[in-house]
Amino acid sequence: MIQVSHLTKRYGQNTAVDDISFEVQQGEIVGYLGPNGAGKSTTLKMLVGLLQPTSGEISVAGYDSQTELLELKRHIGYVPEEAQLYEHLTLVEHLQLIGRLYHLEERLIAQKITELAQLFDLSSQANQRISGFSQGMRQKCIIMSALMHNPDVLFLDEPFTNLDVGTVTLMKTLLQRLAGLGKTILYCTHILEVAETLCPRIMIINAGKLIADAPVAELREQTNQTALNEIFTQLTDTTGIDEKTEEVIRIVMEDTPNA
Amino acid sequence: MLEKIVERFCDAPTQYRYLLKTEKLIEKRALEGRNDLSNMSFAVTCVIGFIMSVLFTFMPFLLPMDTFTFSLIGITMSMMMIGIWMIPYFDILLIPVHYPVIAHTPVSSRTYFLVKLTRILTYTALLLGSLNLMPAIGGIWVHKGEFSLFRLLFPFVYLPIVFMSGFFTIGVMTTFAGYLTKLYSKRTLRNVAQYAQFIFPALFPVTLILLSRLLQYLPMDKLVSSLKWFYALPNGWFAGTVSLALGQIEPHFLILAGLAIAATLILVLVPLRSIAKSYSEYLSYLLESGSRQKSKIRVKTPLLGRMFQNRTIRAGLCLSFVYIRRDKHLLRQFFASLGSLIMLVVILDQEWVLHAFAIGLSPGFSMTFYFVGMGIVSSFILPIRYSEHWKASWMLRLAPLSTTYDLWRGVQAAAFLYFVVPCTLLMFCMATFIWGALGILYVLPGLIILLNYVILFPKPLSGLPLAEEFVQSQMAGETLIPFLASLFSIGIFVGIQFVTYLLNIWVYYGFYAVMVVGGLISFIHFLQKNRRVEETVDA
Repeated sequence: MIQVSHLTKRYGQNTAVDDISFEVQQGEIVGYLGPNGAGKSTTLKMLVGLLQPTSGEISVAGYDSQTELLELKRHIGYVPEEAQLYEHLTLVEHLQLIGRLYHLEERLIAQKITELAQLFDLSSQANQRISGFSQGMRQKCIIMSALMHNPDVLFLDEPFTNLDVGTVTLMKTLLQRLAGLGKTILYCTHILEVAETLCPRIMIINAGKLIADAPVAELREQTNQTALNEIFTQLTDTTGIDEKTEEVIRIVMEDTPNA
Repeated sequence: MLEKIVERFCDAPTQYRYLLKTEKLIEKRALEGRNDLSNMSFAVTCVIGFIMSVLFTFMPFLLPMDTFTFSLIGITMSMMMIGIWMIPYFDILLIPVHYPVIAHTPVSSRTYFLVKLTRILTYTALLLGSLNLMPAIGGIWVHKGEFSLFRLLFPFVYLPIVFMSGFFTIGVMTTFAGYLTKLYSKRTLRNVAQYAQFIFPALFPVTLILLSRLLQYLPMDKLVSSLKWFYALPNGWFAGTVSLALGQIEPHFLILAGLAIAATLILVLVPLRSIAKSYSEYLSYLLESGSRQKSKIRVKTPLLGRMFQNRTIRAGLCLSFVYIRRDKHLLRQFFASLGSLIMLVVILDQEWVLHAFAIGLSPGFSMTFYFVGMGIVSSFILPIRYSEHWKASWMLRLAPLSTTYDLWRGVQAAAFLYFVVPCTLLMFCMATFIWGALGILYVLPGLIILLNYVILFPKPLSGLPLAEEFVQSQMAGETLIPFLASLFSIGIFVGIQFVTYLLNIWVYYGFYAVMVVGGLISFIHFLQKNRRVEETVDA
């Protein structure tokens, strides 16, 4: 469902994503992990067509990103890391806009808005401007937008940020059910606990390079570690935590002059 | 130098310097990557100011006047131009986009206010320079002044005082804007600032027209003594200060100079100080939600949106419609353009404006229609490309649109439906009132031009509405350039109409017919062309 071959993205001298290749099959949920600035979001932005790769090939839902970008976009849903929205719109107006951009029928848009808003506990705020929404409500709004047009492939970049426990639980179950229905999900995060429970397969990116791609059990075997955070630490070479902690405490405790 | 002066009023100079540096950097980076022409727009405004000032500088050579009159005219022009041209820059103060970033840090209200004020004053200083450099030199040759030796000092006296008058104007406007921000705490008055901002541009032409009509009834000898009226106004105070500094030590100039200095000091010490103190409270209020909760979900499509079957056009139209009603930038531009409607009432009161030379040929009426129509349409179609929520345009880029042009067509549809149609209907009613059924022939050319103006108005580089970041210096200039250019071309257009009428009435009728039919064909051609572009991309 997702095929990535020798994907590279450079910004001048800086290589954000360095020659990565992978495949994700239909119905799979794959966790895409990595430390901050590793290149996760950049990869996702290239996969959804928001960024042009420097080199490499992308195929999603059978469509090539270079030659069939429009078709590709019709089959994907995307939840970005930052919830940037047109804040003067209400939730209803926002979802209407999205529905129209995906050429859904007005009747269907209205029906989906009403039902999704109720399920995500936003019906009382549905006609309220987004500018007044909390971060969690904005995140729900983005998730609803990504699901409106029934996409085949979902790209989720830290989708649970700012969500309450109830919604996170709902989302976890929902994603598993969607995968069961044949939807493909690439789940990008640095919260390892969620990835561990949700994703049977894990890919780890560090400094733009794909350093691991295997089922969680296999990674455990490879690294002789049981917890995913230990596997992650070992693979991304995040050592010297204790020393760093001490150093941070020393800096914080220094006297700060008044501004 | 300006920054050093403002810094003295600051309670945390280090924070002030770094915040100001950051603000400048953000603006510079926002300008990077844009085309050279838009980067130059503030410079263009300054050049226009400079040209106006050169014209004014030659006045004393044509019309003998004393130092006070020359200074009075120069200072009045400068204060008025600053007052009008600086209105868009007050968004820096009223809508600080980056406030949430520093809201939690120990930056005092006064420091942040002074940072914002410094940015406004920087633009003001540049405009003041362009408006007053030449008059300052030209003032040396003012030949009714008796103090010939002092005349050489004119530039050194005039420039600091005219700068002081400019900053005084900004101080008054800031006070006005600042007190309006206090009203924001009352929800019902939340949008007063937007309404109030259009008063300045609206009052300016009306005052000029009313003054010109009043002056018709005054004999010339009384006009000179009428200058004394200006003693009551700030421009008179500053002009009096110039005369005093040039050696005209007379009691009334002493009083005027005293008034100028006292007013400036009071302005800085009382209202500006008070606004600076409560500025962050207002900003915090801006971060809050002003909406009320409603329990029932209402999913509605605007009535006019239903007219379009193409859903992308409908999306563009509905998005524009919401932003027309709720976005402060758009509302401010729109209300400012309504100033021309007030002028319309006064102009149409003049008989010569309504004089028709032939059927469909009333240059005064046509120019008024173009001026009002262009103003109102431009107030929407230019700023709709910008938004403080420009980062949300990722949604528009993510959507499977064969071409972004459909979204822009939605914007064009909004321009037609919400601006061109009401404006044309208004003018049609007036024309019918004056010329009866033939009124339509007076309105038709204007409508054709407005339709073509909307369809040919350059779309943004991205092709998307609300997808570019606001840059104040760019916005102001970009509004001015197309407006002046279109007004210039319309002047030529009406001129040709009039010349054909002078040649032969049938030549005029022929030209009229060609103009209307040609304009319609051009409109349909460009409408179709846009569709063809879309189909090609689809294929």
